[in-house]
Amino acid sequence: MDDIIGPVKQYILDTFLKGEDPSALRNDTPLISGGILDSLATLELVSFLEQRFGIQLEAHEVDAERLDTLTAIAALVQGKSARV
Amino acid sequence: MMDDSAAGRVIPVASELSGIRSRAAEHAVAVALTALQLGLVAVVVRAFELESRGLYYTLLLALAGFVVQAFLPLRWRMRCFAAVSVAAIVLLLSTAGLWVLGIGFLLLGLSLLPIRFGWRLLLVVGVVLGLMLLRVRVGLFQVPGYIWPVVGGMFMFRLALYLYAVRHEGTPKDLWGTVAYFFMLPNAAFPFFPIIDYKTFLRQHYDAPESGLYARGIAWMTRGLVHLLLYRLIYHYVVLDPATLRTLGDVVQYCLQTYLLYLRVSGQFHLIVGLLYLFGFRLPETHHLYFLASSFTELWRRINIYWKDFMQKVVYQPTFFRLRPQGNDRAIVLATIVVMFVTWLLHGWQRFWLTTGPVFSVGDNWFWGLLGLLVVLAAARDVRRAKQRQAARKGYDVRRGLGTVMVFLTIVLLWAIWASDSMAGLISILAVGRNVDLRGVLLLAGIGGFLLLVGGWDWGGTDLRNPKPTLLSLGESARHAALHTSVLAGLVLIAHPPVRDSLGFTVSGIIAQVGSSRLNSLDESLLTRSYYEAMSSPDRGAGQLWVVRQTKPADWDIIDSTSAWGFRSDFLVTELVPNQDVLFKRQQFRTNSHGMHDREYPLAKPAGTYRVAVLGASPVMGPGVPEDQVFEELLERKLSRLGQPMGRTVEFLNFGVAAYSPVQMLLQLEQKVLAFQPDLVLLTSLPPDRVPMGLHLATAVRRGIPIPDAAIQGALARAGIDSNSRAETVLRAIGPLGDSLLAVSVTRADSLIRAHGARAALVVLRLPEYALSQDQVMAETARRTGWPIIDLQHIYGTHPEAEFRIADYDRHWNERGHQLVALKLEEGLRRYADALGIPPLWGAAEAPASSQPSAVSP
Repeated sequence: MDDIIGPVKQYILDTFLKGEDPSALRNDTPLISGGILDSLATLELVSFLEQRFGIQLEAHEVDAERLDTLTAIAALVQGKSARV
Repeated sequence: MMDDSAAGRVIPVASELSGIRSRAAEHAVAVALTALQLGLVAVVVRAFELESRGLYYTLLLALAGFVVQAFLPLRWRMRCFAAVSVAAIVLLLSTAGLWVLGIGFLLLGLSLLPIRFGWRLLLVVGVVLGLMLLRVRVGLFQVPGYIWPVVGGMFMFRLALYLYAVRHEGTPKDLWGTVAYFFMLPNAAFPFFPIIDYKTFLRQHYDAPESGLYARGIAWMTRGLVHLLLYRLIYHYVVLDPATLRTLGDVVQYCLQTYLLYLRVSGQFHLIVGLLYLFGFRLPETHHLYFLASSFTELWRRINIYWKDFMQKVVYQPTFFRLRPQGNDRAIVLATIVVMFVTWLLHGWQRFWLTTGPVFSVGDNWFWGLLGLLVVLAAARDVRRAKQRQAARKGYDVRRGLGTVMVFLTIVLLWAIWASDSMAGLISILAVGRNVDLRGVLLLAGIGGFLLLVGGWDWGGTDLRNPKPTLLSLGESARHAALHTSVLAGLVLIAHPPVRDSLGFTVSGIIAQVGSSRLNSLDESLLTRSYYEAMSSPDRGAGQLWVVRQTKPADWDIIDSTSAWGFRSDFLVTELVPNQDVLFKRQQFRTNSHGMHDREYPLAKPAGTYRVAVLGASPVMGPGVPEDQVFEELLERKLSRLGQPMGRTVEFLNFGVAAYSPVQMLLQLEQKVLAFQPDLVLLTSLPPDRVPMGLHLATAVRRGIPIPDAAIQGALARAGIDSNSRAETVLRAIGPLGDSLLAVSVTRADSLIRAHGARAALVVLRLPEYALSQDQVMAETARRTGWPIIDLQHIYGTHPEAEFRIADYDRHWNERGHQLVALKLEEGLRRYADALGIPPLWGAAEAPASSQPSAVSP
């Protein structure tokens, strides 16, 4: 999981949370419902995940259930990777 | 003494037990405090007559349901919520609720059939088309018309989200959750409801500590109440009649009022979402500081996050993924365009279910077209800037402040467009702004300065806050409850008449006005004159008028839906159709062979008969009471009885027609009334008399009937009045000509009446709980013409005026009201008997014993 969470966390910090304290972004910090990722940012994150981890996401998979926390994102990537 | 080993075994068990007891006690306290506050919310709703009475009952039911579910095991709570939701539908809609439940379970059952998804979808779409047909053909299969807004509120969007989830996640296993989702409390009290996502609804049920959820729910409900009270304040004290705008200050106030009235929707949504929190549903924050959005994309997210999430899920993302091969940036912009187009379409879909007016209006089209353009431009800019995204500036940022000013002023203008019936109408309003006054300049500068100052700060943009409620300690729960209880109890206290009246005349008057569900004078006037009925005009969104209309029983017919109402091809435009016998407002409503709501009279006046013709609008026509209880009929019977020993008969002929303007009365006098050889003509005035003139002219324009007055024609043409124009726009267009028309109606009527050897008087009426109007044009003209004025505006004395109205939702006189009017009119006629040449049959000996309303039997 950490090999997924690490790069995703870094990407989010670098792209959407410039200047924020990295320790404040925890694995369970709500990203979508917490307002960190808006619709545009969510799609940017999707592109990053697809490129970085070589997976393909469907439209219905892009929701708060799967992308709201770093833990959920890692589970999604892991599940998709296993199916590739 | 226990040894260590014993202590090692026993002490943790004891502390565990103590911990469980302590947590149970904390839970019980949190539930008790929440129940207390929810009870106060219900009392505030009752005391200030907020929304419908149904909301009050819903809150009482929710209070009982809340306490029960809070002590149930978690797995039972969804079932409890589903049961309370279903019970609320039956409680509010009684047997009609069974229709709602039947339709709901039919749709739910079809979506669960063990057949391929495509077939299920086809069946559901087929049933929805059938429901649409039933909606349009009101009365088919005797389905009560008032269930449709509730059915629409429950299924018009939720069904799409549910089927979307079924399509991608499979048939749900949680049937109780699905039932709770569709029949969701408090939907029966609020047909206009946030579009809650099916998966979010189930997934986030009690996913946070109870005490935190309850505290947030109460906080949002309290905020909702404040929004609703502010809305009332604006509705009664800020709203201007567009026909009366004269200066820049008026125009700014008018444009502001249309946007500020949206507080009602944010208040409703806060109440709804807050109540759902009490049942464990953690949902997004609604209408989060939307007045302070600094960009259009931010406004789109803040103002109704539920709509935005719905669009994002079912339109934006699927479109984006489909178009992605063309490049992300292009796909994002195109998907945004599709979203705005579908948003416009779906608002029409929403109107179809919630209102009976046109699905699309000119204002809607302009509003969504322009807002869509702005959001798409903002999205394109966001895409461009995404590459060099900067962290949001902490603290004050002047650019953010300027953005807030720009977004606010633009949205205020867009809202004014939405409220207009045409661009020409809006332009005519904005053109008034050329008359610059100090108030207008100060208003604009004040709004701009305030937003620049306040909007420049960061009000909850992207940050690392955790939106999940946290576990509250006993102390935190108590502090939270103390704050909200004091606000709620304070509201209850100031609504209590003895306390309210002790606050001084002005303050108590404002509180009484804000605490009453009565319409403001503009809507009141339009409603009473059947404006909305006769015009089939679109409802004003979520306005106060809508509440009044929603409380009307389904069989409380409108006159233009009966065969007794007809249109003409000349400038009289409307009339009562002769020889009709219909059910209208739950009473038999018959018209005679001359199209009068009265018994049959011969054209030729019988010998020894004193004939009085009464002209007026619906109050004279006498809706909702038996024909023989209308005031003119009561007077006719009484005076004929008195005249019988002298061989004299008195006839009162009722020429009242709903929504008639003074101009129509003049035409009616010429074409119909004088042929009956009346001895006395009583022309009635129901100030403000300008309003029905707007309706009359607008209907004439709509039906392509030529207006026989060059000055009026010119004024309407210059203002761009067309068949979509509302009565108030027409009134504004004719401006001062309106008053001239009123005056001419009286003077011309006077000439005609004199030419026929008859006498005339003006009778000024006011329906119960109807504001006194400053409009005195008819009375002043009649006085100059030498007519006696019989002023019946103050006949109710100190009695509660509500006792004289026909129903909460209809302010026409009931039987007691007509008795009072008959009594007071007789007094007036006696007073002017000499001037009117009334024969001596109404001698002083037969004068009524008392003129107090109390003399009228209930």
